[in-house]
Amino acid sequence: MTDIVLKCEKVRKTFPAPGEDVLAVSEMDLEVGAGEFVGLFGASGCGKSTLLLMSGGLMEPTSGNVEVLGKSLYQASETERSAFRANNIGFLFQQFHLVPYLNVLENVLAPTLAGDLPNARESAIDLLKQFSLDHRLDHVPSKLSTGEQQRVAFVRSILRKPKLLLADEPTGNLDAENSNEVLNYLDEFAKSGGAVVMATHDPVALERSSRSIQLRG
Amino acid sequence: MSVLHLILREIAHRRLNFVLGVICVAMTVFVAFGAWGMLRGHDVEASGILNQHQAKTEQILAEMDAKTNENMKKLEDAIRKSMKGLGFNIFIYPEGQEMAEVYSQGFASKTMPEEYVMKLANSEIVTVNHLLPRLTRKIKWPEEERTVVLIGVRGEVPIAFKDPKKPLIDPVSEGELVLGYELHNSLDLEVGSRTTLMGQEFVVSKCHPERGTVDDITIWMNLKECQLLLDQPGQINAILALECNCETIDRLGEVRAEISSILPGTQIIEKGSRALARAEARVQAKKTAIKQREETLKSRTAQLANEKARLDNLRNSRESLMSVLVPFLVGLCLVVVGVLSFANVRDRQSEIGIFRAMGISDQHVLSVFLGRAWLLGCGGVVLGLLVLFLYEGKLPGNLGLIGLLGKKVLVYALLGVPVLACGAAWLPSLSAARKDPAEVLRHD
Repeated sequence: MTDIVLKCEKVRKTFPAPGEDVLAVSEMDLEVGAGEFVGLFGASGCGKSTLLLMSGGLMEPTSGNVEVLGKSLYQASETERSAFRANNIGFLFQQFHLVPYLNVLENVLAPTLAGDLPNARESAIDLLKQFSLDHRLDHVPSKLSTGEQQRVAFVRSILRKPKLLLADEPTGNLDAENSNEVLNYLDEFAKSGGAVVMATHDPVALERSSRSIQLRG
Repeated sequence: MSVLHLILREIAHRRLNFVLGVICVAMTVFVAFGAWGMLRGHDVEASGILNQHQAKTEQILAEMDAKTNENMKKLEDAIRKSMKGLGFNIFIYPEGQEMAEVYSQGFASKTMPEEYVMKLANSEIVTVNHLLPRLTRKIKWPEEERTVVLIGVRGEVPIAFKDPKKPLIDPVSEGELVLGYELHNSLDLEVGSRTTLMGQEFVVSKCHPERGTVDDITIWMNLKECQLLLDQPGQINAILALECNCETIDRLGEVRAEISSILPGTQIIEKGSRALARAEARVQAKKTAIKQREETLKSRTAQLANEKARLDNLRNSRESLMSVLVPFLVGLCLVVVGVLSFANVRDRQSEIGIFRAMGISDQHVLSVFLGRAWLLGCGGVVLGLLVLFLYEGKLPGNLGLIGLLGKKVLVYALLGVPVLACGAAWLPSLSAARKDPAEVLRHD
């Protein structure tokens, strides 16, 4: 295996609930190397999104350890974790989460709020050209098709050249053609040396991954 | 991409929320600073009204004083003219003498040392010219079996520091008597006649013509002889001062003041005369003028007090209204800004989540929301003050907003209101910054 990008060791997550805590992820071990495209699947509520959020430093596990690029995320402070996330981890969501009042270019540049990025504007425009969105630079998300919105979200997630891309149902809202396109991008991202962890229900998407892991709730 | 750019784009996107906040702040600024300006304007205006009233009062009193002085001067001149050449006469009576007795029987029962007259004469008294000591008693003329008034007189006592004056009346020599008309007429006495009084023989040296007064039954004799005859050596019961002259119109007061300083306790009255009546009329006129002045002053002072009370009441009622309205509006404004901020945070849950996922720190998120509140405060205070400037002509005092409140206050407002808006938006902003992104982004 190549360099380990993501390493989860006995990661467990429970949510407090009246009576008994709800177990979302149980003693999960996971290693994802650079160039890998890992697909997570399982029934709804099995903890796929929870695992992704813990892997991205957004949700602290109840127990266990999460390392990204050898850094133990939850031993760092919130500020350090944010800075680390900004430079090394990208997120892609089913609902895109584009900022409705920013146009396409501004949405892609939004990650620069976390810190300066040299030639960010030029890089953003180049990427948008690559994803055939250069004619949509000034358009707000509501004026875009769902496929275009997901492409914008994808470009935004890779602007800072992260090593790890966490995709939560990235094709959930897309038709087959757009789904295929997004899966191609993820595949290309992995082939370019990044690590991709994708949670999905979609068997087609799962087939595109280099490794698939089933989660049981 | 800067935080300011993000804020401005968001404001442009959610205009209603921002505009409502700005209007709310602007209204509060308008009312609060308008109220402040109104109270300051009231103070300025009230001060002007009261000063004007005070000035008018002073003017009226000055006019009254001038008129009184003019009238007094005219009256004084008239009195001086009528008194010219007359001088005036006074009686000096002993200390403790009951004046009612003097008025009823015409002379004092008490006596004083004859040296008093010397004391006066040797002083530097200026208001009195001729000093005539006398001892008067009503006695029974045993030899003639009739009641007479006996007056012992002495020639004028010259006042030491003045030039000698011509005596006003001739002294009665020892052994001589001067008789009133009724006496010499009924007793058939004439100048040169001899008569006996209380066992002593006297020569009639003068007989007065009929006067129709008590003088007609009066006997004048030498003071020393009279004192011996009445067994009151060295005593007198009155000093008659003739041809008194004073500089001021309150001549009796002036004479009294001067004599009292030399002969404390003595009582001075002016001998009844037309001049006295005129002087008294003048004094009365002056008293009336003073009384009128006092009444005018009292009336004007009362008016001033009423006006001040009215203005104070107006101010108090305005102040009480403002003291309730302004804090209420400020509180309401803070609540509204807070609620609008909460609504804004709620609308931006997804945005907050994705920002945090992108590695934007909670401090950055806080600054995004506080920056928005700060701009809202700036917009509100600028708008509120601009509207207030448009209506500054309605404020009392005619000094304008800057004149009433001062530039400093306006600068503090421009700086302070945005800070207050940030304070109102603090809790919502903090809740946004502390929002758990996983809660927003997790859909499993």
